[in-house]
Formats: sequence, structure tokens, C-alpha cells
Amino acid sequence: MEYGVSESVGPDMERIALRIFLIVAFLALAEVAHAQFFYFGRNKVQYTDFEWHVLKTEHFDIYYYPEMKDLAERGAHFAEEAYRGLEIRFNHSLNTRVPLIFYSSHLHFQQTNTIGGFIPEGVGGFFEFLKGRVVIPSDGSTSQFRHVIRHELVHVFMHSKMSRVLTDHRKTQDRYPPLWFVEGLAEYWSTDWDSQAEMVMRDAVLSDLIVGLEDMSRIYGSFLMYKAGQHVLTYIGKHYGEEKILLLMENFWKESSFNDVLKITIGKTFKEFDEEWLYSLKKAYYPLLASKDQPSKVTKKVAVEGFNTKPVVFEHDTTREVYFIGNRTGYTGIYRKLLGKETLEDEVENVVEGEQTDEFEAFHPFRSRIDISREGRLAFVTKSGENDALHVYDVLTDELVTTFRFRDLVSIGSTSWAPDGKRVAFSAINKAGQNDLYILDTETRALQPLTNDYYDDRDPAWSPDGHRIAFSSDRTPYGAQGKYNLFLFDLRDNDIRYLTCGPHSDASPAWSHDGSLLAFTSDVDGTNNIWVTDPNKMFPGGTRTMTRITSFVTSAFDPAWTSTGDLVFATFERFSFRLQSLKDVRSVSDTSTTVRIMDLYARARPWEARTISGESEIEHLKYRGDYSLDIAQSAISTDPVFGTSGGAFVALSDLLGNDQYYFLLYNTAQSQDELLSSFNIAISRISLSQRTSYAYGIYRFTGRRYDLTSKDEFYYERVFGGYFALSYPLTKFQRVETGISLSNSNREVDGAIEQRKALLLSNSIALTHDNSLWGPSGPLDGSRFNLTLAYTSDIQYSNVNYFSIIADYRHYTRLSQRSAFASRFWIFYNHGKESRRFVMGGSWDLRGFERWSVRGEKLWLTSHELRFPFIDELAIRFPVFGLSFFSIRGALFFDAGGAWDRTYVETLGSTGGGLRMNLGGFLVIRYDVGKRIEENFSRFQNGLFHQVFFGWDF
Amino acid sequence: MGFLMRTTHEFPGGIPGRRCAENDLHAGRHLSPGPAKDLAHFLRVLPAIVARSLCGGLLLLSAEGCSGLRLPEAPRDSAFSIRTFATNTMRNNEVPAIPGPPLVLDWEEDLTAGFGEGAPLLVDSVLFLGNLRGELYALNAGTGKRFGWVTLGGAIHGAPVLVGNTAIVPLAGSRESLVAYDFLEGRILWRQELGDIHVSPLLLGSRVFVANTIGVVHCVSLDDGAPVWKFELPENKALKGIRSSPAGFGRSVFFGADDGFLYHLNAATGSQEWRFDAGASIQATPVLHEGRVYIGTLAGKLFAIADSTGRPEWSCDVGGSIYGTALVDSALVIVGTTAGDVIGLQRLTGKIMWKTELRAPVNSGILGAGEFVYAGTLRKDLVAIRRTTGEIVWRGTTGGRVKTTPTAGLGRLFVAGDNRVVQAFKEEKR
Repeated sequence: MEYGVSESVGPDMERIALRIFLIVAFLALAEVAHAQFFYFGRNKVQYTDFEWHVLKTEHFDIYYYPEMKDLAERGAHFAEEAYRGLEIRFNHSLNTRVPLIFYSSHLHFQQTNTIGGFIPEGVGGFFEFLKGRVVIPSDGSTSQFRHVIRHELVHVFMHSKMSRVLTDHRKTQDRYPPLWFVEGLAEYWSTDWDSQAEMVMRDAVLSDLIVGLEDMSRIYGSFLMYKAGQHVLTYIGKHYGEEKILLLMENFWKESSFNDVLKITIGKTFKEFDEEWLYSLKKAYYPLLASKDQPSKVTKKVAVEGFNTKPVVFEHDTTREVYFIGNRTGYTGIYRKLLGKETLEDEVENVVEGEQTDEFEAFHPFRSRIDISREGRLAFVTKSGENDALHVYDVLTDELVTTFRFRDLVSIGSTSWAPDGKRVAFSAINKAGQNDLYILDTETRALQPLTNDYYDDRDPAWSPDGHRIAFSSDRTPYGAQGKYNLFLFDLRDNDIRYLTCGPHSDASPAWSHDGSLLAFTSDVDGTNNIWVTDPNKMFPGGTRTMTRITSFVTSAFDPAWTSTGDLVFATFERFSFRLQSLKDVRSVSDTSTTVRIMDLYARARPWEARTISGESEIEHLKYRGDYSLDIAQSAISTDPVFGTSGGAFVALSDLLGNDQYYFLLYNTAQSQDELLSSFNIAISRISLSQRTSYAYGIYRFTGRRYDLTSKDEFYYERVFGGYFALSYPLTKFQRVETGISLSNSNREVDGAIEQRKALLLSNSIALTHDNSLWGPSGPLDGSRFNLTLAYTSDIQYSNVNYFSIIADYRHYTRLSQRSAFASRFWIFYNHGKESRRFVMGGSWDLRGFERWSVRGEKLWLTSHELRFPFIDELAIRFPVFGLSFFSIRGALFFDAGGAWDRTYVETLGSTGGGLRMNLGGFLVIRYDVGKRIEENFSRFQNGLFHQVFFGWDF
Repeated sequence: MGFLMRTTHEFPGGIPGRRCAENDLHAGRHLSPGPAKDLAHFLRVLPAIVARSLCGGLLLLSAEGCSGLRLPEAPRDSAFSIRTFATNTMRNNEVPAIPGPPLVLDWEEDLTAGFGEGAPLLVDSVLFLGNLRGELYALNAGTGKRFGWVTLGGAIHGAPVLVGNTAIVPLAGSRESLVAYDFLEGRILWRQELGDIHVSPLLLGSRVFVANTIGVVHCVSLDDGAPVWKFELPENKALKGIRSSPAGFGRSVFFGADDGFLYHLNAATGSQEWRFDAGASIQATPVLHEGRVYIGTLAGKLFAIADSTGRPEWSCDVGGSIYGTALVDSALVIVGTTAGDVIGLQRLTGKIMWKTELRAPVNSGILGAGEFVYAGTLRKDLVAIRRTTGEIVWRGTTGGRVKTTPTAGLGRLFVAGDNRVVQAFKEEKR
């Protein structure tokens, strides 16, 4: 994917300076607006002005903002605690201090500039190699925060250890263990094998989705890979010895492949190990089917396509509907389906479309339950701007009623209506990172906090009588181990009482309509299943019973009642979340053999959070910028036309990634006497810390050029000047960009007598929109457009004077889950003195024509393409190795366009078909075959054209 | 170029040091041309001039000295000699007292690769040390200057054993894993393929004992490396290795293994006399002292085992994994742990007498010298502890993490860090 780089500075500049001008050159230089270059993309909006501080501990520099100071100190304690343990496990110490950057919520974390891309909902933290930074958000759960800190520090230690092992043996640092080992070890040494891990492995084995080490690439990067890696290491530790884990790293220098490292460490290759390990998994999990079931085998299907979570049932008149969060289209949103009859999967209706507008920017499908009042008011949560917002939607009129935003609440969890339909209870994370319960009066807009502490309170459920709110919390003695029990908040006396208690996790309480039963999920016997308890009954001695409803081999979540005692819930099966239902739960709940006793009096005090304060010496400082080198690179190039050039590129930035500097220096001299005059230099600064990003810089370029966009000529040019550019994101999907540059240009055209001098002032403004949804080779849904206006004039010699208009609109109409019809419309218009030409032709636009062979100061293009899956997997086996290809997609296309300077000449076109294949997630190889439409659209070419190239679909 | 050729060094009681090109340089001096009297004379001396220039150039280019280890004469044994890991075959790392602490850095030398768990050896004034690039170095112990080095294989983890002019060097990551190198003649005497060896060899009489990473103990002849016997860990399907250097005396060889057992073998036949289940992987080298074997495990337990019967006499949980060799004297057993402690236990009962917190994992063995013991940590500390009380009397900083057991002699303390540098510390003059 290329960005705006001026053709006028030539391909040698392009090679070396591409990174510098990645963002800003297109903004600053009007003449670089080119059809071939992608100026789209969503925006990472810096909503929040963080006032960064640094907490220095013995081994860490912890970056935090004042609102979350307590959380930072707790995190510091976990980090130092983890350091001591990992130092022993790895038998290794770190040589440098580790920068930890904490955020008090995932929404704040998504704004980080420490990495350039977007951070999906499921990412819990990361360690990046460039500056060795560890970046971690809190989600309200102290135990999870601790887990992620430990997980990422395993990466830090492993990275240091592997580097040390290779350096000690004077080996090059060009290898690293496979990802399953890296992530598996991070999980293995940061957390216990829990119900979630068990759920994933059981499902993988029983659904025949599990793969061995030889085929780990098939589940590369997935959560299954994490858990499979963790299980592999658990298995090796148990059957071969714990010391083998460290030995795998310490033997790493001996062999070039990890398969061979495994062989010399435990005596087994991947293949041999897989036979043994996969068999052990079958032995462990197959017998479970004797007493447990896969959910789909014993319950009724409600919705299975895509993932489906957080169901809630609404009954009115004679209809019964289930509302839930799903993503069957690729965009997450709220869906509904009729219950009670045998309805088709297709009768699922999208009620609220998410991820396409700022209002419903993102859902939290695994965190925020939805609820619906008796009057049909659906309460749900989305990210909307800086923070989450709570929306109320009338399902009877299909209208959004109102939206509530809270200045001090960043992230909102599950919602629950009061029986009166006027108040709603919900959990929310504030800026300090605390996840507490609140009640909102939707009429008066008054907000009442119910809890205010560091315990993680979730999943409120308002009782039908209106007096109590059941919720899940880690405020139990077992909370320090990451366990959650159920509690009752009595609104009459503001007292919190135990509902369940034990070293397991209970969540998602749901009251039956008559309030006599509370359904919830519990992993008391290994994985999450649905249980019920009578919240009104307690036995003598302070015990209460819980009765099993489901006995799934994987898991169930988020039960929702109907008025007739049925349950709708989410299940995990075949690595997807499905909605299933169970009728007449009470008949199951009477079975005496499914009862467990909970002893609510045999409990100690809840755990207390420990912080770094008082444990060791610490220091709190204000962050003043901590700059270091990111990249230093040199390059030399030579070609028969432009000769040789060589130079260096340096990039540095501050630790938070907010402030970036780029330096480029190279020389294009072809003889000694040209040396001084042939220096090229560019210095740029980019600031990303505020919502408005800006960049500015100065440059001097000199050298021989070939200009495709002007008169197709060779010339020598000296240009120096400066630029300033702004980018303001209106939403995640839209932004406004503007730029100004002033450059002194002196050009000597080959064969011309006089030089062309110009003092060029360029101004541009652009509006960009992009909410497209991407498939393996290009967008499949949504739309994007760019409208750019620019004006360039020579304010000294009047040699140049032209304006530019660029309009680029693309729309994608979804036909099915993986098919779409894509359309594109271009108008590129330059007019004036020395106005540049636009170019098109080639695989990226007007197919069938040579690349850049169609040129003109004015240009238009329209493209239409049907995109569809073609071959999902193609495996070729050779005697000694095999090749596999995935996601080969097909296309049928039609292009038409034209280019002219003064007089329109002809319309060109092409039609045909093609194949695309994504290589590694970052490159798409494309092949097109078809016929050109020539002579002003009057005839097809003889024969066919064939084009092979790289690049994403438009 | 002439000034580059001066190479002779003298050490007290030591051999003349030399750079490896000295012979050539001597030849150059003999043929020193002087002013050319005429063209014919110039042409006669031109080869010498060229040779000198080349040598000078090579010397200039090869700042690290040349590759080749050949000492001009045999080092003489003395009270300072340390010819095997942890000083002697019973692995009790006790040396005569050295002046100090406090200590200051005397010299340091970059040996271009990391170091394993074996300690440097000291004979006469020559310090021998192998690195993880399979290079065996000989340094001037007084100045740190190199006499030379030779590449013998993949990596040298353990300490060689020096017998006369021969170094028996253990290797890993190369086909031949035990090499006998004559550092006087500068040639390899014999090689054997015995599997990757991470331990320091044990020499008893004319027998060399090593163990490899797949659980096999080999006994070979010192003279030619011919196999005498081998012992395999029983039921070793999990490919447990041996990374605990063997210790021994007379007809007994002791070692620990990753299978969690401490083994006692008959040195003559290789038969197992007994084995003791220590419950967790053993990587530390056993120490033999007055009828007992002292051994620590990765589970943080230190045992005292009767060497004749294999019965435990006491055990103590020391709170952290034990990687390095303990030090045993008449009163105490002193051991370092990964929990960051150096602990002194009563030798007869195992009762903890003192515990010194270093707040950094101690991987290296403990070195005893006079009234102090020395230990290095993974956080680049080098400490001197009063052995009777556990009091830290000096703390210095090395350049790298210390995993290698220190050595002392010639009034200096020698330690290798994972920054590839070997350092010598001597008493701070006040």
C-alpha cells in the first residue's frame, strides 16, 4: 500500500523517503495527490489528554496518569513480584529497566501511540520489541491485570534470554522460537490452567479442530494456539520434566529449526511428539462425553452463524423474541430472532448496525450484557466517541430513544432494567480503573453509585420485586486468585450479602420472571455451566444449594429466562459462540443428584489489594519526554539511468510514541565536484499526542528526475522548502486534513535552454471517510471516499498556477458473508499552468492497460467488481515437502475511464476475471485476465490480456 | 613498524609472555636491515622488510591476537595451581586466602563470547578459560593479555581439566565433545564423540569421567581417550540429562542428574553403588567432605548424604533453586540460591546459621578463600562474605551476569561475566 509520494521527485527518492512521507507528504504537497495511492483508513482518535507521570521502581519505569495512581501502584507491586519469580524461572536477569505503560481501561488503551495500528477488543496487552515497551490496560479486574502483567513480562524475559543465548554463542539474532511456544510459555508461566483454557481445549479436541506442533501454522495467532501452546508446555513439564522448558531456550543456539531443538531436548521431533500428545488429549477428553454433552446435541439451536452472545428475551402479545449481540455480517451489532417456532437462520434481523458510525462505533460482545424492559426498551452499550455510551432503543417502534454519556465513566459493562422500566443498573469503569455498580434514573438522569472500591463488580441483575440487585464480584476471599462469586445488593438497607461462595467463578446472574430462581454460570466443576439457586431460601447453618441445569462438555454463558421457564444462553462450540435454548428448566432443576451445598459462613475476609508503596523505594515523577532511537538505516542504490545514490535514514520518538522525528540524508552526486551540491536532506516532526495531529518539516532535494506526470521528460531539479500539515479526526471514520508547503524549485529540463524557476505555494484540504470492512484481499462492506481540493501557484515567477480536485468514492455492497459487489468512481482534475498529469493503467485501476500508460490532467474512472470466495484451501504435496494455499478469491470486473489534457480523446475500458491470494496477511498477489475495450469503447481487443501484480482490491 | 614488534613480558615467577608472532618477530630482528648500503643489499633484505611489515600489519589488524594456543614452556605447578573445576576432585572450592577485600578491578579482557558454568583454571601465571564459542583461552593472569586461543568445537560449558601440558576440554554443539589439547605443542592429541557435554570432566588417576546431556556417563582413558566404560541413567525415556559435574575420589564417582537422583558409581567398573532420590532435578555439582556428599536441587533442597550408603543424614529447604557448587568447611556448608540468598548451614546438622540476602539469584558456585567466601549474582554483583557470620564485607560490580564460579590465585579474584568479559580483582590499596 503506497501513500502520497510525489512522482516529481523520482523513484530513487521514493525508495528512500517513503516512510517519512507516509502520512505527511501527501497532506503537504498538493501535486502528490495521485490515484494509485491509498489515502483512506480509519482514525486512531486521541480523545483523551493524558497527563503522564512516571513511577520508578527497582526494575520498572511505569507510565501512568494521575487518575489511576492507585492502580499503577498495584500494578507496580505485581510487576516487581513477577520479576522476582521470572528471574528464577528463566535463570536470567534483565540488564535494562523495563518501561511499563498502564491504561485504566481498554478504551484508553486503544488510543496508545506506542504502536501504529488499531487495537482490537480482544487484545489484553502487548510487548513491542523496538523500545522494549510493555503496554497494558486494566479491565477492572485486579487478577486479570496481574495476569496480563505477568504474561507480558514473560515475553520480556524470553526476548532477553533468547538474545543472550544467541549472543553467548556468537550466533546471529535472526531466529526466534515459534509463536505457539512464545505465547504458550507466556500463559504457562503467568496463569493456572483455568476453566476457559479447559473449555477451549475440550472443544478443539472433541470438534476435531486440534492440531499438532507440525500444523500449528493453521491456528496461528488464535486463542486456541495460545491454549494449545500452554497445554503442550504443561505436558512437557509433567512428562519430561520442568527443567526441559528452560532447556528448550538454552538449547536454542544448537539448531536452526525448533523441531530439531525439541528433538535434542526431549528426544522427539514435532511429528513424534504430536503422536503422543494428541493421543493423550483424546484419552483425557473423549471419556467426558460419557457424562457430558456438546451443547448442540442436547439443546435447541437459536443462532449459530458468526458469534452470538448476551441474549435477552422480550415477550409481547403472542410473540417472543430474543435480542443478542452478533457479528454474522462482519460488523458487530444487535440482532433479533423470533423464538418458539422453527425459524431459519436467515430470519435473524439486524436491529442496530455497529462499527459503521461514530454513534455505535464498537460493541463489547464479551463484556456488556444487554437488557430489555417490559415496555420493550432495549438498553445496550457501545463505544461512542471518547467513552462508552448507554443507549435506549425502543424495539416496538424500532427507534433510538436516547443515549446517555457519562463524563467520568469510561467503559460500561452489563445493564439491567429495574422492574419499573425507569431505572437501569449497570457496571462501569471510571478513570481510576475501578469497576463499580451504578443506578441511572433514565427520567431524571441522576446517577447513583452503589459500590466504590477496587473490587470488580459485574453483571448486575435487578430482581423482579425491585428490592435487590444480584451481581458477580471478586470481593470474596477467593478473589485474589481471580475467582468471582455472586452477591446480593439489598437496596432497602444498602447491604451486600453473599449469594454464592467458593473457590470457583460464578457470573451472569439472571432472575426468573417470578423471582423464585436465579440462574447463573459457574465453573465449579471445571467449565462454565448453568446452575440455579433459590435466592430467597437459605438452609440452617448458613448454607444454600445450587442446582445444575446444564452439563456441557464445553461451556455456557449469559442465561436469559422466558416467562415459561425456558432459558436462552450462549454456548461455546466449534470455536464459535452460538445461541441455544433449553425448555422448562424447572423440571431439570428438581433432580436431587445435581445439587451442591454452598457454605456461606465458612468464609474469611475478602482479599486486600497490595501496592508497591511501603514495599520498596519508589519515585513519582512527571513525564517530560523520553526519546530514543527507533531506526537507523543506511542504503545505497544504483541504476543505469539515475546513477548511484546512498544515504541514511534515522527515526526517533518518545517512549509514548506521541512525538516522532525523522531524518533523511543522502547524496546523488555522480562525480566528486557534485558532492556538496548533491546532498538531499529532509527533517520532519510528527506530533500525535492531541486529537489534532500535526506535522512539519523542511527539506532540500536535488538530483536527476524523470517525471511521468508532467511532460514525460528527464530533468535536473533543486528544490528546498518546508511544509506544515494538520489532521483532525471528526470520528473514527472521518477526518479533515489540510496542509501548506512552500518550496523553491529550480528545474533544468534535458534539451531545454532555460531553467524553470518557481517559488511554489501549495495548499490543500481533504475530507476522508472510511468505514469499510475488509476481507482477505480487500474491502467487502461499507464505503469510503476522499474529496481533496488543492491549489498550487508560483508566487514569484508565475510559472506554475493550477488547482486540483480529487474525488474518489468507493462503495461495497454485501451479498453474502464472503461476497460483495464493489464500485468505484474517480474524478481527478488538474487545471492551470504547469498542471500535472494523473496516471492510471495497470492492475490497480484500469486493468488490461500498461501500468501508468494512461495520462492526463483530467482523469475519470469507474470500476465494478464482483468479489467471491474461490478456493478455500489448496494443498500440493511433493515428495519431500508440501505447499498449502488458503483463501484464494475470485473476481469479475468491469473498468472504464479516460484521461485528457485539453480535449477528451477516448474512453477506454476492460472486462474480465481474476484471482487474488493473501500472502501472510500483508501482501496480496493478483492475477487478472480479460479483454480491453478499445477505440472509444467500440471493440474488444484481439486475444486476452494477462496481468500479474501485487496489491489489494480497491 | 618496528615498535609494534616488542612483545616480551616478564612476570614474577612466571614464564615470559609472548604474542603468538614472536618467533617471526625474532626472525625479523635478526634480519633487521639497517640502512640499505646499495641496491643489492636492499634487495637481499627486502623479504625481511616485507615479512616484518606483514607481521606488523597482521598484528595491527588482529587486535585480539592470532588464533592458536601454544605456550613456549610448560607452566610450573605451585600452591596457586587450580587444574580442575572447583579446585579439586572433591569439588570443594577452597583456595588459599587472597589479599582483601575490599577489591578493585585490576584488569579485564573481552573473550568475544559468553561463558558456561565452569570456572577459570590457574596454573603458574596462566589463566585458562573456555567460552561458549568453543574457544579455549590462555591469558596472562597478571595482566589479562592473551597468550592465545584455539577453537575446539561448539561450546565449552564446563571447566577443562589440566594434566601436565594437556587440557581435557568438554564441548557441546559439535560432533566431537571431548578433546585433549596439548597447549605446549599446540596440537590436538585425541578427540571423542561422547554427546554434548555441559559438565566439567573429573580426572581420577588415568581415567577421565564426563557426562552428557542425554544421561550417559563416560569413562575414557586419559592417554588416548579410549572408552573404558559407560553408564546410562536407567529408564531414561524422557531423555534426562546430566549437568552436574562429577566429583570423586579413589574408586568413587558421584554426580546428580535431571532425573532427580544422586548417583554413586564405581570408578573402575561404572557399576552403580547406590542412588539417592533427591526429588527434583540436580544441576549443582556434589561436594565431598569427610564421608558425606553435599548436594542441592532445583527444588531448593540441600542434602547431606552418607557417601558409603547413600542415606540422607539431613536435608534443609533453602528457599530457592541451587545451581552452583556449595562450599564445605569444617563447620559450615555454604550455598547460594536463586532466591538471592547465600546461606551458611551447620555442616553436621544442616541447621541454618546465617542467611545473607543479596536480592539477586546466585547461580555461581561459592569460592572460599581464607575467612571470606565469594559469590557472583545474575544482577552483576560480586560479593565477599565473612564466612563465620554471613556479613557482607565488600560488594563489587562486574560487567555481566555471573554464572561462572569464581577462581582466585596470584593475589587476585577471577570472575567471568556474560558480557563476555573476564575480570581480575585485587586488593584495593589504601
